[in-house]
Amino acid sequence: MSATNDTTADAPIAVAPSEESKASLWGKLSDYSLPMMLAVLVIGFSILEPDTFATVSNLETILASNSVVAILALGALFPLIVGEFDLSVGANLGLSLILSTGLASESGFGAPEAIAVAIAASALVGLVNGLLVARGRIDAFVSTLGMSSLITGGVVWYSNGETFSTNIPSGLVSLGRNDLLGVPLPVWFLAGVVVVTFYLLNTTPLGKYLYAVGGSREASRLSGLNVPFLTIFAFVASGLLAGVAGVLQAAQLGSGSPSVGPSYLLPAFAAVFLGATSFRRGSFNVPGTVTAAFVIAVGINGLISIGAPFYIAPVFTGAALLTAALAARMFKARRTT
Amino acid sequence: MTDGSSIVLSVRGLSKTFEGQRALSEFDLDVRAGEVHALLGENGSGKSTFVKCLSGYHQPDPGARIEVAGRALPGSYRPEHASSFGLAFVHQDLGLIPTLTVAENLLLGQQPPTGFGWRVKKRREREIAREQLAALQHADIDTRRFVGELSVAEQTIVALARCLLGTEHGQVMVLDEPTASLSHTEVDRLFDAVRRVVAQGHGVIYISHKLDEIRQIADSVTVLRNGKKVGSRPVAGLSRPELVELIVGRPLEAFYPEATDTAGAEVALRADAISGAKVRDVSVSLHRGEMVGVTGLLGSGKSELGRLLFGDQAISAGSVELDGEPVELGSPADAIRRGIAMVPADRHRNGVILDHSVGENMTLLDTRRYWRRGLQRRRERSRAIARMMEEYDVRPRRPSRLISMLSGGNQQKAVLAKWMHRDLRVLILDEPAQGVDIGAKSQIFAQLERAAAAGVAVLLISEELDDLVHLCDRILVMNNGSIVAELSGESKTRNRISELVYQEEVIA
Repeated sequence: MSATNDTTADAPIAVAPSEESKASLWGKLSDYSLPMMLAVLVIGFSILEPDTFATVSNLETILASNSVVAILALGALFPLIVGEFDLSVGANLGLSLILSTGLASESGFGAPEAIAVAIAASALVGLVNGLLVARGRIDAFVSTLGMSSLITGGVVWYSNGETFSTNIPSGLVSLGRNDLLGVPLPVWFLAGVVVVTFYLLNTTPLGKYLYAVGGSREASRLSGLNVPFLTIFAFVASGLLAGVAGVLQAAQLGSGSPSVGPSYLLPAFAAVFLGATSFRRGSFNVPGTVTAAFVIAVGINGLISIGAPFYIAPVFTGAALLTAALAARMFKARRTT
Repeated sequence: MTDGSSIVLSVRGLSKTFEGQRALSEFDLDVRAGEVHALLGENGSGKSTFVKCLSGYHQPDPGARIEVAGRALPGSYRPEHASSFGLAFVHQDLGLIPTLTVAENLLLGQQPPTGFGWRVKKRREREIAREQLAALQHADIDTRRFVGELSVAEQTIVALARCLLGTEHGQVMVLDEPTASLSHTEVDRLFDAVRRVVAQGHGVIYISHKLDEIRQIADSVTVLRNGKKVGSRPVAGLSRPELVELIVGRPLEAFYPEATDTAGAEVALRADAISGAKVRDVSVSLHRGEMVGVTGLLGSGKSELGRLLFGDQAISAGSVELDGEPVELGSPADAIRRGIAMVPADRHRNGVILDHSVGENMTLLDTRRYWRRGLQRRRERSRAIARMMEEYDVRPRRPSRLISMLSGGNQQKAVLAKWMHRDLRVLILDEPAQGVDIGAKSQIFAQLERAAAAGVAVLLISEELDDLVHLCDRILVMNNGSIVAELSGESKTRNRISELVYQEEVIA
């Protein structure tokens, strides 16, 4: 039996091709709006400030010092992909920072042991977050905000409010300060994290499942996906990467201050949201997140080098986050009409 | 309603062209005061284009003339002007706010009665709301309740009442698929209210895919096909086959697939005295190649039976055998591994991932198959998707389009493809034809028949009795968690099933 002879029945849909090809040219360009913006910023500030901005050492500093935020943002990306979020990433970075320095400074741990314990502790925090959300069915907003406060308090208790700066093992510090092939080590770590997360999220079934859960929890469950496991996985990945970012920050600073962590939350989220406007538009993605982290970093660094006051950093970050949210809103509106 | 009654809506020469494509062509329509006028047609027939022109969402091509109670809509007409011209629209999404009370929702958009200090006079607000509901003979809906607590039928009635508020005679109300998520009894309640609306001298345009409802509620019907009007008829005396022929343009015989008698002796799935939350002691056996229908009212346990057999809900007592072997169905993943598939009701929430593409939706279950030695086999995957789109006629053939952009029928064909291209033993479907146009519905049924012919046991859960009678070898009637009757052969007639579905309710 043929019910298909009536091809004109879908006439209004057949309108789409021309509309689509028009959209795709514009769409292809706007898929790369972030890298283009990054290029414009770098070139623009180089022309304006050839002596302070456009130096190899300044660009190296921007790359190295913002690797930490970029890695943290890649961690925050995971819960956002499954439709949750982790507001404790900043505090969790602080936990890893204080443990990796404190254990070495106060308890005589060697660098590898201190690093391993710090990252494990952060991953454990992620696991608890995941269990609270997926098994305890507590809203991610409440559970991760509570966790954030808990960690921040714990960090102050452990450090007694002091900064650990003595007996920091050179093995830890060298991770933040040494070069490999002329490129600072933190940049290599970031590159590693980018490759692993990109591979995981874009090519493996696990990544596809994470995106599916974010698209519809119900439909994913009814397609046989283990939604609680995938949610917990996302939070563990978030905690783990916050731990890595914390260790790297400790290595760069060479000391551990109890007040560093929470201020990283917003820059990380701004990078993820801004990142969703490029590459795979409308969905949170790895290349977008990393590029966005550097768009924000270059923007702030450049503005300061042309004489903007120091408080430009939070202003610029906040503006980026709001712009990203507005852009996301517009993509959504375009996709649904 | 007599022929002499006044015309509340007159449409002449309405065309709408999208980038050279005529979606609607020279459309004429008259709706009289006091009538329910059904508008029928497959998806893409121009129905929704017409409604969008009427609501001001689309601008008609020049030359069209639309008059509401004698007043012509001006060229500058936009959606926000609709209510001042006496046009009101109730869509599937009712536009109510669940966290506000019935009274607050009814007066939303109106000037609420206020007293000193701009304080809202709640009692007066409730009185107005009560009057409106009473006019629809639904004064029983408590105006202080939150809309979110009401049943969907009650919510629809509130939306109707809101449309009526502050309007005079000669209003035209457009109801777009208002019964899509209602049970039989709820539909009856809603229809009572609709009859009250037209009794007040309003005209109602009623859009639905459910032909039985149209014969129940509508006075006349206008059918659209490919953007053109096929005809307007009074509903009285129009039979169901005649209606289908008008819509599809071919006779009903071709609508349901030839039933092939492939039901063998082998039992594919046997459930022995299983219980869930509502379902109690239900035993079912599904034979290979057999299509078994399950029907009953909302809350009868028919949907739960599907979820139990798919492992989506825990079986509290009883056992399940697949091909003679006892199995534990702890999760949908278990069931899928064993060759059980389920096409769930509420497609948007449960069936598809709206922000994913058609191709991603169709191959979600095969993600692992296309990941070998650490790489995605993209070419292989897209070839498979193209084959599936061809085989199940998913239109348009664009795998990368977001599934939310497809019509309901094409979404459902994609869902069917997602499940059916796998090796299946049992296929469970819960209202697979919901929100699907007649052409797609017929294609979906043909696919089910094909699956059965290939030896799959099909369990079709539905309230569409005509579909069940035509398609199924056996029909189980559920009530209050139990199977109260099994009908096959001569005994499975529409009337008999209807009797059983309702009769039991009276007893219970």
